[in-house]
Amino acid sequence: MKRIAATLLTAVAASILLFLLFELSPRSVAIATLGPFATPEQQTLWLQAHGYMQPPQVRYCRWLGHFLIGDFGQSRAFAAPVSSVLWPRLGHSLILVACFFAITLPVALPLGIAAGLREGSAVDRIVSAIAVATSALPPFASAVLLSALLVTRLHLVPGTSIMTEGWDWRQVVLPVLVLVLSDVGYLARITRTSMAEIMATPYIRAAILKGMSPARILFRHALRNAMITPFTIIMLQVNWAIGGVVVVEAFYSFHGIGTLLLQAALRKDLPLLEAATFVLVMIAGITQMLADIGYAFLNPRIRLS
Amino acid sequence: MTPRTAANPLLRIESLNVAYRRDGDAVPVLFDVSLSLRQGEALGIVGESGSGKSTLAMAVMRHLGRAGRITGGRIFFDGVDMASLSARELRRLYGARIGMVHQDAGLALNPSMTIGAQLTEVARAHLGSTRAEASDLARTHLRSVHLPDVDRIMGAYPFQLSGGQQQRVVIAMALVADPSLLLLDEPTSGLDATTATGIVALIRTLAAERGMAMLAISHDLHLMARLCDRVAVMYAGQVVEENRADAILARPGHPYTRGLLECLPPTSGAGRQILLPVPGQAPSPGDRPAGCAFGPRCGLFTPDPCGAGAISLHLSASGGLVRCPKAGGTADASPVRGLRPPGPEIGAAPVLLRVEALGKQYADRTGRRMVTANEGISFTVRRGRMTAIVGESGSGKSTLARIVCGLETATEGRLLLEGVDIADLLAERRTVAQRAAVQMVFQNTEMSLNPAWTIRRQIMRTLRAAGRPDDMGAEHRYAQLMDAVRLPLEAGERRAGELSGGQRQRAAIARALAASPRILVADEPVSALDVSVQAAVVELLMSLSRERDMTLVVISHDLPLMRSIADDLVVLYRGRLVEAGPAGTLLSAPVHPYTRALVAAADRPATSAQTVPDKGCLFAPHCPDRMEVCSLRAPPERVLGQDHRVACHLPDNHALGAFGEGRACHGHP
Ligand SMILES: Nc1ncnc2c1ncn2[C@@H]1O[C@H](COP(=O)(O)OP(=O)(O)OP(=O)(O)O)[C@@H](O)[C@H]1O
Ligand code: SF4
Ligand code: SF4
Ligand SMILES: [Mg+2]
Repeated sequence: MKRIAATLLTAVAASILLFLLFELSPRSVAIATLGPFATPEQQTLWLQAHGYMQPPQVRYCRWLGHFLIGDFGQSRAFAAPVSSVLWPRLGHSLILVACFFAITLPVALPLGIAAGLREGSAVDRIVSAIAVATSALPPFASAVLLSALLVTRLHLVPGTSIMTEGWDWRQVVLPVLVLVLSDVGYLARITRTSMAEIMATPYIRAAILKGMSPARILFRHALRNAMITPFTIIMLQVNWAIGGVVVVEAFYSFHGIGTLLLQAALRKDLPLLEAATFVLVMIAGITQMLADIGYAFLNPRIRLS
Repeated sequence: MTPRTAANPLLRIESLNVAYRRDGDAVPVLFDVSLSLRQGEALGIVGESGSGKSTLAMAVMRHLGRAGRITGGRIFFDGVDMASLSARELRRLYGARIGMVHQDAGLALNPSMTIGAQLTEVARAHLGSTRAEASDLARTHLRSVHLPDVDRIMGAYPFQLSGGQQQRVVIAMALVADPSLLLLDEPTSGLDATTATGIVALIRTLAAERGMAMLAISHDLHLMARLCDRVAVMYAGQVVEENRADAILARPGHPYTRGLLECLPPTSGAGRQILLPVPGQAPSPGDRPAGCAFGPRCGLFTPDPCGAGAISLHLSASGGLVRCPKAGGTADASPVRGLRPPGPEIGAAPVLLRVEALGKQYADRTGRRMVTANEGISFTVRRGRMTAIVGESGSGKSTLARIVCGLETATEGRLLLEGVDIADLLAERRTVAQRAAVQMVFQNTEMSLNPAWTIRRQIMRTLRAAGRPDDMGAEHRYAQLMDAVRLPLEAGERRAGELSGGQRQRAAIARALAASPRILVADEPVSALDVSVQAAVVELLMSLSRERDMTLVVISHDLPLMRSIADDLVVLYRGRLVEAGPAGTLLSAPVHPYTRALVAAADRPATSAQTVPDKGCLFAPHCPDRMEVCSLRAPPERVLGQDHRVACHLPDNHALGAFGEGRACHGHP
């Protein structure tokens, strides 16, 4: 309950901040909307027509009201309602992120756990080597390499993800792979370290010397404690993957929310910028809330105090 | 399984050898350990840190980790060779036939599982109980360790229980499947004395009720003697003595055991508490001397037989086994070399140095304001009684020491060396005899020794300056000095910078000794040294002071170390005297709140540097007994007994009454 309230509070704070940033001075809104060559009379007319002459708190409430029902206004750059641009883009990004995690987690977590269980073993050394190799490669470099391999040589997938003829799964492959490649080793290594740490604790030794089976020690005694750190990292990566991977989106002309934000900012498309930022802030708030709930599940000390 | 008979004990360890792999080398840590344990019997293993106790327990469990390996010998549990068991068979033994009570219960419990879950899983795994049966069994065992409110505890997480409760839970957990052997690793470390006593009594009764055998491990000989029927003392990976518990207390055979018993604080109340176990250090594994491993620390050592070859266990006079041919011989001489016996009684020791209301002010960097480093410090140094000046960093200890040695002059008060005031005489203005009488050893050997000169040159110079011009005699005394500080003559030909830290400090001590001082002031003589050489230097200082009738004044922030060797203590706080007096009095009945906190914490109490009051008592911001007057007027110094002084506004009876109720802890956050 407290966490939901906190998330709502974050949302309100974010909206106020956005409002102050973009909407407080009506004149600049008018300039941004009508362009630099509109006369002051035109601007005033426009402002009156759109209710900008009222006091800020009234305008804020109305602005927020529109936001809440999903009415983000008209995008200047796309000459279409913001929502018709924003939602599909967000959808694309979410699918990208979902595919990314659907591959990364089942690979990185078990590998990390296996490596951490037997520190110094062959598995451990292989995982560490892969981790070092992949995380040393920046996303744009792996994008180039993967394109060279899968597109140019093997002709397996198209080289761009522009999706002019509607959604095409084959065009998602490359961006997802680049994301996976840049992250899977890192996450495996985090998991490994955490797991190895837990396996060395006195309570795991106690469980072994109580005669518990290896499976029970892993699943009942170790896993929950060992997942706390990787979980934190994963939650942070949700935001990183949704909004932050402009490099990957740009490289493949993938129409996600990252490039959208970039375009909106470059073209001074205020309504779009506001809406995209607001949505991203909300997503960050929600993942934070999920992270807190997950923590409480993993760590009873947090849950009970 | 072979049937158990009297000749077939429950646990039999036969010349067990264990080594750990370290940097590719196998370092042996257990040597030919043979022990056996009958059904229902309790055996205690005692030894200092690093002696191999826990390795022994883990070897019994065949759980030595990846680095450890049994390199020889065998272990039979209930007639079965442990080495022949598969992982699955071992698992059936763990928790079911052998229960384990771990050191530090708080860490041995899984933080994210309820107590109930951790207890019931044992019954479910080993007894095949249903959920309900397991839960009933868990409750029964929690009750049997006298835990209140069992329902709450079943649902609780470890962090919701106190240390004593956690320890009881761990015991209950080890008992659930009714094992025939209980392994206890430091079962009471980390518990306060009262709780520990209760736990020991509890374990004894439970074991007796169930006819359960116990193998317990501790560094505390008295504890093991209370808990067990028999005790084995381990030193550097070997059993050096084994006997019935009462016999080992009454007639210890091995010099090490005797040292342990002498050093242990008397079980009854206050007195001279000696926390430093046996002086010196156990040899590090793989670095053992030929012959008796205890030889370097033994007061009875002679090259033959001690240094000649391996010493074997033999029957002792008191009916046990002991690994020393001289055991049971002359029991009078202190068997442990370097252990400092108390100095003479105050009445019998003449005053050598009297410090009276000594003060020192420095002008600060701008030259306008004055910084008070020492103010109103009074105490007495008596011949043969070692005085320790303790206080936290910045409390003015070093300033005081430098004034005593004439490296600075006092700005107020008197410093009487055998009745003559030398407070405002720098060393070069003192007479030759006065200068020689007080010598100093610094924390930093760079301050004692000139790095560009050879050690020999520096010592010879001091020898000549001390006023004996005949060169032949000087050469001879130089050789004696080097021998006294256990430095090879060859080291004397090197420059100070070419010696190790420990060797340098020895050379600095030799240089100070060259003047044949009556008083040796040592400012943190060991704090810059590696732990492994600290004890050796402390020992050296103490034995030198005995041999040469030299009175030691040691400056240290380390009360736990000082309390074990000093006769008198001087406690400073921010340049002021807090309390001074005989160590026994200060440790058993400290009067000043700061001393009480120091003694209770066995470490320095938290006194973060925040606000220093500009008047009144400087300790007031941290004082649990602060009164109104404390922030108005500086506390007066009062004399409470011979040489016992304290600076505090509290009336005596209050302070004495308050001690013992743990009030000293209030000052901590
Ligand atoms: N030469 C000096 N000039 C100015 N102030 C000094 C000088 N020497 C010492 N002081 C000050 O006197 C106080 C006591 O210093 P002193 O070196 O005696 O403390 P200490 O107890 O030996 O500390 P530590 O254990 O850290 O060496 C400190 O506040 C210090 O800053
Ligand atoms: S007397 Fe000799 S054999 Fe006995 S403990 Fe001392 S050094 Fe070792
Ligand atoms: S004088 Fe007052 S404040 Fe200072 S130690 Fe004594 S009781 Fe505490
Ligand atoms: Mg100092």
